[in-house]
Amino acid sequence: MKAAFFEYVRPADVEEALGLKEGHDDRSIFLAGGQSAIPALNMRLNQPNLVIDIGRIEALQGIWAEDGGIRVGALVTHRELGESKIAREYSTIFRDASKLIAHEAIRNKGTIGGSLALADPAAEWPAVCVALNARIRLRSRTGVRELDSNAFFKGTYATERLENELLESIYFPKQTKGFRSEILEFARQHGGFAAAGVVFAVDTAAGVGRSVFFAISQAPIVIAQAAIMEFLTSNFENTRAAGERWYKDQLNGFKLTADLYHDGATKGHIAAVLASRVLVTLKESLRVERHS
Amino acid sequence: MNKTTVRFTLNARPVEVAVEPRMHLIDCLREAFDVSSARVGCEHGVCGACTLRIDGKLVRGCLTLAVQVEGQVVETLERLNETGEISDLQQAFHDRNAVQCGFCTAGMLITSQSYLVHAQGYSRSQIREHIAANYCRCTGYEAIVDAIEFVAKRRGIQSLEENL
Repeated sequence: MKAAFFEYVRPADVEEALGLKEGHDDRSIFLAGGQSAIPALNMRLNQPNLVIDIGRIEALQGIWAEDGGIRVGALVTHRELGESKIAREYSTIFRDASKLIAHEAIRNKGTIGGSLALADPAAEWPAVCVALNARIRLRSRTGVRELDSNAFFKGTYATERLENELLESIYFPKQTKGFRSEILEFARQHGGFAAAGVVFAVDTAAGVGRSVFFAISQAPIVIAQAAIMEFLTSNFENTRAAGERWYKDQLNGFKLTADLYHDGATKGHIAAVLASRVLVTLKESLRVERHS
Repeated sequence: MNKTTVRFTLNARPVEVAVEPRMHLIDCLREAFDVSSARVGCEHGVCGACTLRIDGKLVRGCLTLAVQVEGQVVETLERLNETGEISDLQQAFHDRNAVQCGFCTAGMLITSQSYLVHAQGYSRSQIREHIAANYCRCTGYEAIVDAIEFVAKRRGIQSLEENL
């Protein structure tokens, strides 16, 4: 399929990009890595009259340490984030999540900012951001605001970003010493869209944790587990079965959305199984740590 | 509709072309430059037939607008063939009948080469995982995996399976 006609501009900086956006309102789009935007153009699901290619704006690149956390520029690709030393020192979650996103050719171009701004329910980065309490920085011509990622995602392809705002960077705050994060997803084919997935963020020192489910509902589902260490250290005969039951109960109250292959109930089941597997992994690694 | 002039390096040659912004790179390579290895498959990034290299990195040609490659280095299978960097891989595909209709082959070779160049070690499951990015509807993949595995061995990449 071929895209419909559009004009194309490649602004040199953020200021120019925002100016162009202001002039065209809803008939223009920002183009970052293009790995979701260009399919939508090719299939004519989106027919803007102006494509503003922000892909070469220097100020939107880079990953750097900031106040004990890290700041990630919107144009950092999945691959760059997965291979970044700064990101790796902060958490292994970036490496692990990046591997699950499509394939090498897509990871080389697709960006975290594009993924967050699109808010596909099956995407990994929104769940990672919510799990890690990341803050999303939006810039407009009148100023900057920073939103909690939990408040940013509203539903399928729906976020709090306004038309005249550009997603500029993401801040992952300082974590405690006992911080641990894991991701697990189920997809029918490696690199395919997840049918269900979960990101864990656990503070082993404070004993609290949260799990954020993606691909099973319109927006990430957060389940806080106030006493996760109790669960991880207690002597269940079968952690996996107990975890699965617990998560099934927790997910019961949420509206889970079907995809082409799985109905909501199946997704809930897969999600609970995935979460219980992460619990087992965490429990085993904590046991190893205590004994070493 | 307005056309935009784009200058880039195509297979080691500087080129210039006027394109409509909506044209993706594969259509541009086929129509303006007769690059026959550039394949138009699904045109939404799923099938991998259009895979090529831009500035040395593996990308989907159908998910790149031609206007976006201004100043960049585009390499298709023709270039990899010319330099000889994949001659062992081409021979291995040929020897094992890892080609039937041939539609996916250009993308498959470029994708495999990228795997082989970056691999810290190889295994059949890793090879499968990597080429899951490229659809082949004829061979059933077995012969393709065989060919890539053979070349990995030949290039001295360590097998991860032996260490299990």
